[in-house]
Amino acid sequence: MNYHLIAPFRALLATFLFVAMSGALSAEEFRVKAQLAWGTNDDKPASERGLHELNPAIRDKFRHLRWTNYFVVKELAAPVSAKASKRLVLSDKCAVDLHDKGDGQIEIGILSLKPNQPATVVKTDVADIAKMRKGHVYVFGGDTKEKWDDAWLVILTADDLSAATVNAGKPQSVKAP
Amino acid sequence: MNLETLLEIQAYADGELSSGRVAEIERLLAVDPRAKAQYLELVGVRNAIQEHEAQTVVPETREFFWSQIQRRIAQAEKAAATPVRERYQRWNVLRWFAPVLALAAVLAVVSVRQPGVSTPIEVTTVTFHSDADGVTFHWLD
Repeated sequence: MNYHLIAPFRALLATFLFVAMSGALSAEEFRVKAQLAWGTNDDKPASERGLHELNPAIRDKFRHLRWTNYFVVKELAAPVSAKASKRLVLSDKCAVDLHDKGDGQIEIGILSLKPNQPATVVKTDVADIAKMRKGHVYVFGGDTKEKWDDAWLVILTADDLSAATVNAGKPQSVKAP
Repeated sequence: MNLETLLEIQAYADGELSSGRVAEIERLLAVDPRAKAQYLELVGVRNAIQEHEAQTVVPETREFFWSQIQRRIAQAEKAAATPVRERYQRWNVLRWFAPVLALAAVLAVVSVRQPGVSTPIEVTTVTFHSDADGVTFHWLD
């Protein structure tokens, strides 16, 4: 191979490699897992086979809430990008907008969805990526309109979070009376 | 002395009287003291104006000064000669620029708008945050 031929293109080649590497790095974007959970004092209904119980380690983070059971209705995970907001639709009434602010923080927006109407942002917060990697959980909740005394929860965690990470550094929990 | 005679005396003083009437007016001035006084007054006023009139100096040359006037006259004549319909058609083309510019402005604003989460509507929330437990909790009413 005659390297003299590519000599004039070295700068171009270096630029290409730099861009390619940048792309590879950006491919390792932070992934967020969003879970839509149902809080209830009832047992798991037999008809709802798709439900599964919420990770106990996450459940323990809001142990002060009064519901005894938390079932995950739907969970989605996606990388968060600074280029565009990522929308995760968790149900026909609820979605989450995620946007990497580029400064180690993620902007979170909880959206209310209604048929034939534009989505409405009902709550926003800014999450710290470093904290999420260490197991910090962001939770948004409210009363369920369909069923009296039940609750809905949107739980946002790092996607690759293990149960050990969730519990890391956390003091032993004391069960609420 | 009637008005016509006065006008003829004025024309004589200005050197504008027809040659056929000059002799007659000169004869009148010689015999009529009132006509003579009128003539002298007119000549005096004319001389006073000529001697005391403020001189306006135009900074440009005479040719340039008149070329400006000439050009403006030509422009005015051209504008007057342009048919109304043609002028309207010119504005008809221009009137599309306003909405196009407005649309471009809107697109520019939208394109430079940073991606992110929109401003939320007002919802009452209770927030609980604990670094020890590793949780931030928002309860929406």
